[in-house]
Formats: sequence, C-alpha cells, structure tokens
Amino acid sequence: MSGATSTHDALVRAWAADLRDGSTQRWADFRVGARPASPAPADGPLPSAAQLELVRRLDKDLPSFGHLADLVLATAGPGRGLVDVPLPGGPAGFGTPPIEPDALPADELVRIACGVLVTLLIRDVPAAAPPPSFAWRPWRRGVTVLGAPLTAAVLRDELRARGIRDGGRHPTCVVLGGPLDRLMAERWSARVAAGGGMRWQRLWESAIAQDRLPPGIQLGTIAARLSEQFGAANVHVVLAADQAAAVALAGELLGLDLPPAVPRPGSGVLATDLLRALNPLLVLNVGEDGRDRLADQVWPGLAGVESDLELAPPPGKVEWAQTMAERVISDLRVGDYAVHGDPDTVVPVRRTSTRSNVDPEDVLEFALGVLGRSWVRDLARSAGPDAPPRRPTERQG
Amino acid sequence: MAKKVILHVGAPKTGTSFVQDLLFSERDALAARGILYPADRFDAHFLAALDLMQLPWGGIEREATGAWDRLARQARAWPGTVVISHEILATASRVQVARALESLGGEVHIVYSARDLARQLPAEWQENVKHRREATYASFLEDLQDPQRGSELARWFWGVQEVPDVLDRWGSTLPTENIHLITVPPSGAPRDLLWHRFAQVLELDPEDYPREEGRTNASLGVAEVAVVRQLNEKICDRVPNHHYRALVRESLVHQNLSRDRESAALSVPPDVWAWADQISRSWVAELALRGYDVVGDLDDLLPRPPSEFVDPDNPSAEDLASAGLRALTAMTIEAARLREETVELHEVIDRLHGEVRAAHATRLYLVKQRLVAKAHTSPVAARGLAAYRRWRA
Repeated sequence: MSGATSTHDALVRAWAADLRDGSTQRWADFRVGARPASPAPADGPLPSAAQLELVRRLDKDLPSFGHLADLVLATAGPGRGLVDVPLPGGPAGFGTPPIEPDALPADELVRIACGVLVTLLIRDVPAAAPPPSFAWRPWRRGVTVLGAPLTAAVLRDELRARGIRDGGRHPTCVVLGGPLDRLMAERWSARVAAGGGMRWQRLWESAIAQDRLPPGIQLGTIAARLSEQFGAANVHVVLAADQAAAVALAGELLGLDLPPAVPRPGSGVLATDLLRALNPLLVLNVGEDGRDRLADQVWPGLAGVESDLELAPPPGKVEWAQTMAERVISDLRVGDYAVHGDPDTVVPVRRTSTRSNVDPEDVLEFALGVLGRSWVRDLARSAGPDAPPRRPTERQG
Repeated sequence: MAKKVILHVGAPKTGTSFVQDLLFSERDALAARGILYPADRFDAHFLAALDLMQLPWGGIEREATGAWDRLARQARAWPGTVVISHEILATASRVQVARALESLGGEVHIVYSARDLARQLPAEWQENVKHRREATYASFLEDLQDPQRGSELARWFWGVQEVPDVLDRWGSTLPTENIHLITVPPSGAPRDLLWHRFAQVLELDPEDYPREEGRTNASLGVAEVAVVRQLNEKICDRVPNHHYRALVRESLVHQNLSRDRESAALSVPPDVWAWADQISRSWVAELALRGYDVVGDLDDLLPRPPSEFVDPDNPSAEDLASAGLRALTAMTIEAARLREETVELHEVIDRLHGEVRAAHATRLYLVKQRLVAKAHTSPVAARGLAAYRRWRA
C-alpha cells in the first residue's frame, strides 16, 4: 500500500467513524477540516462512497444508530451498479471514477438501501398467515369483484367482513373502473405486490406495443365474459373517479352501508417502486413463498399509507391512453350489462400536479424511512436495543 | 477444508463457456484425480455467483437461493483441489469478494482470463444484442467512453472487463503469486493455445482433454447482428423473455445465423481503436508492475492493428437483406417444426379424450356417478360416500 493510499484510506475510515457517531458532515467538508489521519488498521474492505453517503443520510435518532451504520457499511450493494465507488481525494487509479458522495445518483443509494433492507427483512420471515376469518352467511348471494385491482381488494375485504362470499354459483358481478391512468397505476401496484418487477414506464411501453390494456383492467372484455357466464342482468360496471367513490357506489349498488374506503398500506407509488426493486432480491434470498409472506404481512406496516396512488401516463403516452379510454367507453356502451357512473370517467385526466414518472430522489427519501422502520422492527425482534445485529452475510434459506 | 481453491472469475468472452463446459462434462474424471468441480448442473456456478452478488437475472435468480453457501460448503468439505468458474464474478464488489474468500477457506487462487479491449468491445455489444438490447453500436460505444460510467451498460462492462481493477478487487488480500492472469492469444494463434494456458493454471494435462466443439458462444457478423438488433426493436415489448430465449437466442442466433455467418466480422472504428489502445497500454503497464503470474504474454492485451471497419448500424442493403432472408427462413422452419409439435400434441389430447370418454361410458362408472349425485340429497348416501373416500385415502 502506498503512503498516499494509506493516508487516504485512513481518512475514509475516519469519516466512516465520524458518520457512525452521528455526524452529517459531507465528505468535501470533512476532508478539508480533518487532521492528517494516521494509517488505521484495515477493518474489512474500505467502504464505498455510496455506503457512506447512505449512512450520512439516515436518521441519526434511530436507536443503536452505530450498529445500523455498521450494517450499512458491511452490506454490499446488490444487483448492477457502480462497483465500489471511491471517494475523491485518493490517488488516481483504476476502477470506478471517484464521485463526491452527495452527488451520487439517487438510484445508486436506493440500490445500497435495498441490500440493507433485504438483510433486515429476511431475518424474520413470518409464517403463513391463517386464512382471514369469515362469517359464513350461506343465505347471502356471493359477489364476484373484478376490475381495478386495489379497489377490488378493498371491496372484497369489506364484503368478506360482512359474510358475503367471493364468487359462488350465481354471483352478482361488480366490475370496478375509473380513469384509465388510475387503472394502470392500480394494475402496476397490484402486479408488484404479487412479485412483479416491471417499472411504471415499462408497463405502458408493453401495453402500447401490444395495443391493449393489461387483461385485469379490460373492463369491457371482463364485463362481456361475466355476462356470458352469469347473465348480463347480474353484471354491474361501476365507474368512479377515485377508489373511495368507487367503493361507495358499489356498496350502494349492493345495498351495503360501507365505511369510507382508505388506500391499502404499502400500495402507494413510492412503496410500489421500492418493492419492485426489492422483489427479485427477496425471492433470491427466501424464495417466492417467503417474499409473498413478507409482502403481505410485513411490507404494509413498514411502507405505510401514502397520500394517493396518483401517477399520470408517462410522457408521450397520454394520447394512447386517451385512445384506449375511448375504446373502453365504446365497449361499455354496447354491453347489455348495467353501467353505473359516467362512462367518460374512464378518460384519463391530465393533471398538471400529478407526477408522470417515479422520481428516484423521492424513492430514496422513502427508502430511508422504510429502512429506519425496518431497523426498529429488527431491534424489537432481537434481544434488545443494545444487542449487536447479526452479520449481514448471514442468510436464511 | 479444500487444500486449494482455484476461482476463475472472468472475464466474459474469453473462452469461459468452453472451459466450464469441459470442467462440467469431465467432472467425474477430474474428481478421480482429486479435483472437484462442484456442480450438479452446468450453470451451478452461475447461480452461485447470482446469489453471492445478489444479482437478479431475468427471473433465473429464483433458482439461486442459497447457491453460494452450498457451493462453498462443498468446497470446504473437499480434501483436494476445487475449481469454481464463472465470468460474472468479475464484477463482485470488495464486500462480496471478502465474503466469498472467507466462505471458501483454504488457499485461494484467483484466475482471470483477459482479451484485448478492441476485440472485447464488439463481442460485448453482440452479447448485449443477443440479450434483447436495442442500443445501436454507436450509442453502445459512446456509453462505454463516458468517463463517469453513467449508464448501466458501462457500469457492467467496466466492472467485468477492467483488468487491473478486477484483479485488485479479487486479489488485494491474497499473495500476488496466487493471482493468475491468462491472456487470450491474438487472432490467428493456434486453436489450442488458450486451452493449454487454462490447463496450465488448472494443473491439467491439456492432451488428456482434447479440445472439441463444446458450448461456445459463436459470433455473428455485421449484418446478422444488425438484423437481430432491429428485430429486438420490433419484438422485445411483445415477446416475453422465456420465448425470446428459445426462439431468438437459441434457435435464430445460435442454431442458425452464427453457423452460417456471411457478412464481415465486427470490429471497432478507428477512433475507438485508438482509445482502446491507449487504455490497454495503461493496463499492461500497471499489470507489469504487480507481479502476478501471467500465463501467456501481457502484449496479447494490446489491440492488433485495426481491420477494416464495417458499421453494423449502417450495413449495406444487400447484406441486410441476405441476413434477413436467412433469419426468415430459419424462423419459418422453426415455426413449422413447432406446428408439427402442436399437431402431435392435439393427437395425444384427442386420444386421451377418447380414453376418458370410454372410461365414463362403463356401467360401473355410471353407477358410481349416480351414487355421488345421490349423496347430495341423501344424508345416508353422503355418509357412505365420505366413509368410502376415507377408506380410499
């Protein structure tokens, strides 16, 4: 090791120690103000700029913060990314060029955060949950709920709580719909919750390439199929601008007094995009069953509820969305089944305040919050707040 | 604990598929000589590398859970030499390298095979095209020349190909004599020379394992790769990966276009050659100082004078039409073969339907059917049926 390298390495380790102690000083400032560091004994590989920057951005008020910092510094970034980004100020060499840590792309930091999150999550994979309790009311007619996936899940929960079974031989069929951009967002979130890894942009590109909506939100096709199977008189398409209105309208239709619907925790835009990145890593570590259990039972609590699932079509896709909406409306107009609500609701609303893509900076902020909550969950699970965390290399099969 | 672990970590496009194929097919013979190649399937080390590096890979990672730990356990339990080989290991970070070395134990030797950059650039682009990428050659080369390595493509390429960095990440905690750099001979060298170099590091007699055509990654020409890239633009949003893998990569590329390549070989434009030459010289100068065990000649890593460049982004209409026609021919034949399979499967289905119908037409079945129907309305019949089913279970 050259003198320059060892001095630089010692300075890097000193900054790491400083951050571990709760400092939020940037590398550029630390480097200028730090005393010339004496070579410190190497303690594992030198942390990368991305690992260090993630530590710097974490909430310093988290319990046992030092142990969390150790975990971050010992966890490799999963997947593809910049390999071992060095900090500026060291001797010129080969490998990834040095980058000021606070200038690193947000997606690099999200990648590192995902590695730590997976390490924490897989330490405690819940057992399969028993099926939800169900008050059996055989005299009540079953209801089949299809269409907008998240809204449908909320409605199914409400029905189940009232002893109304899902499906049956002669069910009332409810097909839930709304603005097409919202249907796509619900579809995206539901697919990711089920283990998918598609980006928002990609979902649109794929649909456009096939010139059709994803099967679960083809309202006209679904309603026509149900009419054929159960009779048009038993099929109701419910259209509303948002989830709460759709559930309320469906409740009215079914003669039920349902409470105002609230979005499901863990299904917001940022939660969906973060879970999308975590899904393959969770499968890799605990298999698909383990991932499903984590996504169903743990993720909602960690991710919480975001304000709304509002995502406009990505740039350049609005025109196609409008064409598809018109196609859906035209299908709905010729069906024999009942349509409740204004068919024009399906037309996507171009909302200037709505984001049309997921901003990595927002996802990073969100990931930092989830990471903090995961850390607290892990501490609560282990012996106590002072217990050192397990080594990050430990895996659960 | 293994006495010695030989860990071959890359690079891609340096004959790794051939070596892995040979090691896998000869694993029993090798084990008899005290050399373990711990693999129950040909891609076992690939899965282990995905697990070690937590690397999603189009869904294949689903099969990789715990694969590295299993591999390391096998290595530790073997009393002799263990060989592990996969080229994507080259991009492991220092934390991942530390975990790998710690888990293997024993005396670890790192082997890295390297080829000159001017040949690696087009080879990597071609590999990208075979994996659904749509980037033109020009944009690919531009991405790689970005000093900040901003694109995912550049991050990956330099992560596996930058020789001094890969060897520093993998070898910085090991004695230099445990680091073996195999150089890929220049074009025109004897076919067996590279295998002899690998065999030397693996401590095998190359004559015991004559080089045969194995699972190698054949090359496409300029027009063929242009056709596949343009095809990607048309179909990648519409054809799922598992179908793409079977139809395009295997059937079209490996079984057809790479076997009857007609157009010019891929190379780099003159300005890129000059840039690659400059980088290669800096690598060779650095590697000469490090004292690694070089198997071959460091000068092999310097690009040979450039051949005539034919731009795959603008192939001649004639070449493109010819390659396109060959692609259409191949895919039509493949479609016919698949239709034939469908016809045969329908025959099987019809036969099975007939058998089911015949079974349902027997007197015994009809009696059973009546009894089951009776169980819906008669509690006595229902109890009898339940008892019968318990007995059958």
